[in-house]
Amino acid sequence: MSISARTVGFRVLFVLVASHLPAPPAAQAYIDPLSGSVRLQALIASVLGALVSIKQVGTAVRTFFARIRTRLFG
Amino acid sequence: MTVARVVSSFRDPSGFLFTRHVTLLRQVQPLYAPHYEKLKSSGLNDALVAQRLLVPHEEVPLEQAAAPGAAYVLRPVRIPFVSLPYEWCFSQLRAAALLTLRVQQLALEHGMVLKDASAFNVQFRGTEPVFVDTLSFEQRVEGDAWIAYRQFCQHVLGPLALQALVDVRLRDLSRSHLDGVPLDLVSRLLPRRTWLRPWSMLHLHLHARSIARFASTRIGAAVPAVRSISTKGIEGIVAHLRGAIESMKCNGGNTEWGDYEEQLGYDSGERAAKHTAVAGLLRGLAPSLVIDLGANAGEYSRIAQECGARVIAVDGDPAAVERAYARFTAAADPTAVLPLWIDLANPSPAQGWAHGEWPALTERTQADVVLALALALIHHLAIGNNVPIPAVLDFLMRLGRRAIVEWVPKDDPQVKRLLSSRADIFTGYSEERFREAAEARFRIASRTPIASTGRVLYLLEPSA
Repeated sequence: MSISARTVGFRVLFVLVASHLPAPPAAQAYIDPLSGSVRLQALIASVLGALVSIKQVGTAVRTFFARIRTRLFG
Repeated sequence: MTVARVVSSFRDPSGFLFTRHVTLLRQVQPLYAPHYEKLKSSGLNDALVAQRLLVPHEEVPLEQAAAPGAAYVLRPVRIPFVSLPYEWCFSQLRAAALLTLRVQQLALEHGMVLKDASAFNVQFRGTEPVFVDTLSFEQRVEGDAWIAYRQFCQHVLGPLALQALVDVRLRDLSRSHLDGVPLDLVSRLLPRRTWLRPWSMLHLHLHARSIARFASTRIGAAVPAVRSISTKGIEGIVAHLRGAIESMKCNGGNTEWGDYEEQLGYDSGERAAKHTAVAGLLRGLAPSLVIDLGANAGEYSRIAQECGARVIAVDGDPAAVERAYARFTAAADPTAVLPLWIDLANPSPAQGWAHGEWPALTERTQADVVLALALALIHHLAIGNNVPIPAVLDFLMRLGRRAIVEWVPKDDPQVKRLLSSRADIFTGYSEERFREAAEARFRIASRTPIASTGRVLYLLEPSA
């Protein structure tokens, strides 16, 4: 888990840098807001997807040991 | 036979809703046919309907189409009353959000994805949210982004965050921003500490900045290519959003009316007398649909429900509506009562394109079949908001052809409380004037005094 936490921290830092911190201008007409939304997704999807996978693996491992415990000790 | 397109259904080229006489139908255009066929063949439609997440429909012959060239014509099960997101309390928007994410997760598991995540795609059967737009699904192309992510954040996540972390009254931003509250505005309004929470930092603050950054890119300037986004990645975003929304709590629970039922001015005997009188009238009328105006936490909505009616329980106090929503969610039939947070002195207007996209409250009730229940209401409108009694009755008529109105006299403790800090300019506030105004609009079918309270229940029927 500590590795994934570091990874998350790194990615978050990356997003912070990549997106520039100055406050955004108020929304104007004639802009395409989709582009920025899609790019943010591209940045965060891999991290959040990995977190889901880790959770799923954790659940599977816990279920596996719980089953063994039940078999051995009833 | 009259065919009329539903005005709000013009944006999506996939199809549109229309009515043929009184039947609601949906025309599917050829452009969307492959996606609709995938919705059926993948088992997604059946799974969503079985879990009560999507409104069921059946296919009807193409002759029923409103315009030539239809690929399919569907007849969805009709929702008794169409409510709008800016009429929901916090917990209703939260429930709608979680429903949308559940629908999206199931769609991903079936090789599809939501292309729309507008809050308007959710309706309530009583307290139970249900997704109503069958044409919001499209086949997932591996590597593509979730195109409705921004819409979800603007329509649902941002407004929920503002209500939970700033003030529940910020809900009304959704009334003026029909395409969702812009994320740059959400970001400015949220407290600085929300930069430290991963969900608000990623999906709201950085999302707003990312939109602003790439929107201002000059035409022709080099733009870095977007990496492909896996389905697992989108599932990760959905799970993260779900965790965030599940952790949110309503902010704004202590209001004047939140515990009104416990603080009522009259004693238990008077209260029981009012219950008996209201229940007696409702049982005799057996209305199919009641709109309970000033419902508070739904004390009399429950009586109407027990008399067999479906009820829309309207109140202007968010804490009271929260309590009503919790009460009827836990009820034996959670689909019987729909609580809504609406200020009756400023009810939802006709909104959107050409004033016709989202109808006003009075245009959405079928007045011919509705009974308006106005208990302990008239003094709030007439004295609290300076609305003349005839105007109050005109408004009631637009909501329901029949009405039960409680007359509250000027010497009632609640009226005295309203007048305690202001001059009594309400010389026309008398039962006699009320009767005259009622007789000019309705037929007074009965007049029932409530014990010794001085209050009177009027049953108003349509005049011949």
